[in-house]
Amino acid sequence: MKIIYLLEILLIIFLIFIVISKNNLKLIVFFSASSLVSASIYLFLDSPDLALAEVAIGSAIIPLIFIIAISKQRKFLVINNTTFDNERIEYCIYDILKEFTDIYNLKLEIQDSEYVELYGIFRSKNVDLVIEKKKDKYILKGKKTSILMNKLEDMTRGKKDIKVVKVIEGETYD
Amino acid sequence: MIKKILSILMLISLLIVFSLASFEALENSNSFSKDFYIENTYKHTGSKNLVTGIYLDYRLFDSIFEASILLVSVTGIIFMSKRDDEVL
Amino acid sequence: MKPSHILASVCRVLFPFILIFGFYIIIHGHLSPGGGFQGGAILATAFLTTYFMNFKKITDLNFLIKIEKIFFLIILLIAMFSLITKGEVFTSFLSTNSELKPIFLITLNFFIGIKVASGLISIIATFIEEGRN
Repeated sequence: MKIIYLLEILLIIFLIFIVISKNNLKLIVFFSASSLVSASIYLFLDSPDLALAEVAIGSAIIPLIFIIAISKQRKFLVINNTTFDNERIEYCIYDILKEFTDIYNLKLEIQDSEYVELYGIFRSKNVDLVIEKKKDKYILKGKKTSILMNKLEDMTRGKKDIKVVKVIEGETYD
Repeated sequence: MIKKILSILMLISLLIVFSLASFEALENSNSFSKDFYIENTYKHTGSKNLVTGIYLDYRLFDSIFEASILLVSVTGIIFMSKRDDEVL
Repeated sequence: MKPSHILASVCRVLFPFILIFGFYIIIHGHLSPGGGFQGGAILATAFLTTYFMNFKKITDLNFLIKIEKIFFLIILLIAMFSLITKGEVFTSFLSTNSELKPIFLITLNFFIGIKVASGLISIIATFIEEGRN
């Protein structure tokens, strides 16, 4: 009777930690711990079938899938679509992108211009950003669903010659 | 500001509705089906675990489609993870 | 990422015990809490520990998918078999008075467990293969 109240308070504390934590790996550890606590709550409420499934799936399989998905995001692939080559672009945008990728521990990679699809399932490469030039203005195109684009928009707010465009996710019909 | 006030109002109304519904369910509970399964499950299906007896004999139609959901999701994940030149 | 030796050897010791526990949960589904889905998830976590053992290739993906499809068809056939003996679909094919009624539950639990385990292992294997390149 008293242990279950303590477990519920512990569960609420873990869930608040999940919401406010900024580090992704810490978040996964808190998620796994919260599902363990909820499994023990199920056990005290006389449903051991549900507790077995929760222990196996909630605290072992889903955190591993999250860890693999996070460790995949190590590169930040940028496609250079302007007429300049890679050395010329360094002076204007390279510093901002370098500072941006250092915050998230990503590896910056700039490739030369080619036609790529930014969205859709059938794209051949996992492109994050496309640089274009239009009337003395550099346009950075990125996906709208990515959280990284909000940070990039904040960083380039003061610059006059850089504009960030967010592309809405969708499928192409051709 | 208006969005925050609206979301707080929504949460409070959800809390009131759920507490009212739970009190209602405690008062008007009917134990007919519970007594039926507790008495007859071992006689009908031969399983001492009530949950297995229910989902493999009385409700087998549901659990077969539950198994097919996993099959469909696995094929969807494998289809999405392939690249363009491997699929087409 | 290089896994540590302590983690790899602990996983190598734990692997057969988790396998035995998963099969116990599946086979004893009609006597103790558990069943096909829970036991299959525990079997999948046993194969998940092979990820830390630095195996080159975790499993053959086409083989797993083939197992899952064939076992789903077998489950459907076992469930439909009561149409011949009793005349109604999706119940036990043994008569109500016989002593061998748990055989139906054991076979269905076994097939559902292997099917769920192969499905979850193939999901994990796809994610690992996707993360490598």
